[in-house]
Amino acid sequence: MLFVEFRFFIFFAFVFSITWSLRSNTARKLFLLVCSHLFYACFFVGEPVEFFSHITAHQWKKLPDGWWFPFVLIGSTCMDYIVGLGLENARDERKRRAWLLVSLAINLGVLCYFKYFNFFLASASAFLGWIGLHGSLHTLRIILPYGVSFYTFQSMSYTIEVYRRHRQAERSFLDLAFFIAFFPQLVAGPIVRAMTFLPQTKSTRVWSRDVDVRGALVQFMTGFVKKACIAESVAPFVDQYFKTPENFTALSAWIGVLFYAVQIYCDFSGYTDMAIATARLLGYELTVNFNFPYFARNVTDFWRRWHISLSTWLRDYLYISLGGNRGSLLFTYRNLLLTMLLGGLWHGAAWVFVIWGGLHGLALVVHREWLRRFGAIHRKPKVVADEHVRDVEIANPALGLKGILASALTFYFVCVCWIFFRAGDLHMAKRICKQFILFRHTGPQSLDTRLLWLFAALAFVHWLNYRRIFTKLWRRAPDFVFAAGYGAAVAAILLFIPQKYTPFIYFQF
Amino acid sequence: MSRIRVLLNCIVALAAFVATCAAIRRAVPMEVEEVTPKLAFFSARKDQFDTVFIGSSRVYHGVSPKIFDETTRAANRATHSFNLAVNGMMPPESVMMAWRVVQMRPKNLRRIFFEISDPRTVSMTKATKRDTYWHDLNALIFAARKFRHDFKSDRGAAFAELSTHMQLFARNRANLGRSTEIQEQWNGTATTKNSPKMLGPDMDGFLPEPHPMAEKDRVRLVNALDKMRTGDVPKREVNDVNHDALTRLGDGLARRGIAIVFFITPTTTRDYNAKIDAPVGAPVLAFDDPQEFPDFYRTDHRFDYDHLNPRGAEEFSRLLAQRAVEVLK
Repeated sequence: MLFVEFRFFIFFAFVFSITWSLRSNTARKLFLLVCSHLFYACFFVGEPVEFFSHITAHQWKKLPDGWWFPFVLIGSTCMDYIVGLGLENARDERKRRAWLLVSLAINLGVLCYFKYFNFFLASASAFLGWIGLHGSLHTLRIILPYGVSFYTFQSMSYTIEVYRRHRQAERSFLDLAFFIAFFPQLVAGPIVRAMTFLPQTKSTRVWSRDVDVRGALVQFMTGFVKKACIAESVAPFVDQYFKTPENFTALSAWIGVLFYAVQIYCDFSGYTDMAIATARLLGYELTVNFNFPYFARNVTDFWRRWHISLSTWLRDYLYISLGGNRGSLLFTYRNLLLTMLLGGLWHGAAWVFVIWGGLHGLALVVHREWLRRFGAIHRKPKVVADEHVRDVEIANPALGLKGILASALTFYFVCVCWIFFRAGDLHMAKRICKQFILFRHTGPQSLDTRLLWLFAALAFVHWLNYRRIFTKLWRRAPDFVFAAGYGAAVAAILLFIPQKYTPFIYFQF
Repeated sequence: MSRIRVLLNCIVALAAFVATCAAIRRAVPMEVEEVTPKLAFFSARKDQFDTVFIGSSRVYHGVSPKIFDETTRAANRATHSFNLAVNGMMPPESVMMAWRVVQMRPKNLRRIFFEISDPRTVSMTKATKRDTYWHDLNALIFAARKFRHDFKSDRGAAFAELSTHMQLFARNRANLGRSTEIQEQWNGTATTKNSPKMLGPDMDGFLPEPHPMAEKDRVRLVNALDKMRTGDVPKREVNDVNHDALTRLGDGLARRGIAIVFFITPTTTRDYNAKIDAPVGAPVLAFDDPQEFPDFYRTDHRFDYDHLNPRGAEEFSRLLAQRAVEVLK
């Protein structure tokens, strides 16, 4: 059930009306928890009637692959609840560490099994073959459960926070289960921290106090436009180019790569916008995940703006755990590189993702070294994980010529990295890089060059949004004008939706 | 914000949504291949014609207005007809087509020859642009009546069918995913504009299909004829929903001074016995009896098991005209 599908709107209308009609906070959370598990199950059970008929007839073999994945989520929640209490009740550090290790081993074990088992096996087999030891290592047929990378990181953040004594263990199983399974952020984030979300579960949400209806509606619409109208529309051109890059000209390579940058941003940030808006309409605030990353002036700034919930997670739980910058310069650079390599691997079990992470890691090291040598004059304020969307609705400063050059250079580097992210294998990535960077190994075919005008138009609209031009308009409009404008805008947007949706790109991670 | 204000805002948003959708539909009407060019061609010359034929491919490839007019002229009942049939057009789409023609207010239109066939089932409806196109309010009413009718026998299927029709209606009314089509219309690159071939060599909407019959069609035709000869065809009960829609159409046209003549082509498929759906008292010209019209069922008169070739079409058009002259006297 995708956020852009008609059935999601039916589901959400039901959830929304029942949630706000319940008076007790516990009843609401319980209802939302049940709905969240149903939402998650929808990805795996196929046709519900058929599924239950197989269950009642004990025809287990006929059940769709992965029908039991929702139980992994329930198991993970139970384990984290027990570990949290164990951590709090443990008297000495060794026991606390043991509890933490249990949590990390199980969470990472689940992640490794589903996501990396075949990758490690295939890599080991290739390595053994390379040194002359040919063995027969059989890969397993493993299906990746949707959202496993996201909810595993989320539940790990909870146990690490309890271990670090940043918060107390959660006594209410309902609250913890609700935090992990809350459906808007369950499948593709944002990765919400326990300290951001759990306090919100303690009090009954009040419609007039806790819900910024206008903000949530606009944010949902923005996300919908990004995914349904932009990402889906540019996807055919991107697919056309990346399918046979050798057939295309260098200009087409530029179009293909630039539009992939547009596609992945609109797809992922669109999903996040809809997730955050959905949660807001239910009275809960999630973490900001994107803040105009393509206007970043350097790669460090980019990572403060792109997938913020993951980058801050990696910073707080991996980079700092590795020692952060509390050592020599080389030690810090090693930590940066390791963090980004693992961040790349988090995205997918393939060497292209490792290289993607490695390139970003190298760029972070280079930027840090640059700052050390030439001074850190333009250090940007950090975007912290628990900032709300309302806080980033403040107009961004104008870029200026220097800023435009810096942003363009950063965007170019990010696009080069996207080549590795999108290309199926290293060979293809190398070929596309030659086309994109060196204008070599080109073919005769060409994508429609008018697409560059479309790119320019999208960039202009994005810039207007960066300067919060639209925000000022819809925030100031009287209620009835806003309502009429919203209705008319929905009618116009529906013109652009595709016949069939492709799943969100980040679902595969 | 008070609840009343919230409700008022919702109403304002809904009204703006509906108004914008309607404005878009009015500014850029939906165009579909085959149907739109025929309607556009007819619309531009609507006052020239006094007779139109509406139906499926069996009419499109089987009724020649040129021969029909020659025959009526010879019988001193001169007509000027146009073939508005389109491949796969059955009720409720064909009913909508008839209403569209009437809405154009053609000054000289006196009669509509309307092919009776089974209503389009949901299994044939694949949510294509064409399916979306004909899902107007009348089609939804038709679907609702069909739901009420089918609900007693198979609830699950009835719900599934109604849901499909409602989705298509919503898609039609809300202009879902029409951006590419609108862009093509504005650029003048829409395929619907560039298909004069489908109007036929005489530009009267009749498209002859001269290619010879394939072996598999020959076998199918022989099997179908065997079934019809032995009476091994399930006798149908009157389809209330179809019957009702056709009655309303007949009444509506009669009020506007337009006569409707129902007819059944020499078919071998599901429409056998379709005449029982015809409104009571309305003229029905049925040609679907192989015993009575053996020539139409000869392999040299057909290009496949269900469609007439140019030779068959010529004879069928002539006979249809002769019968029409008798009926309309």
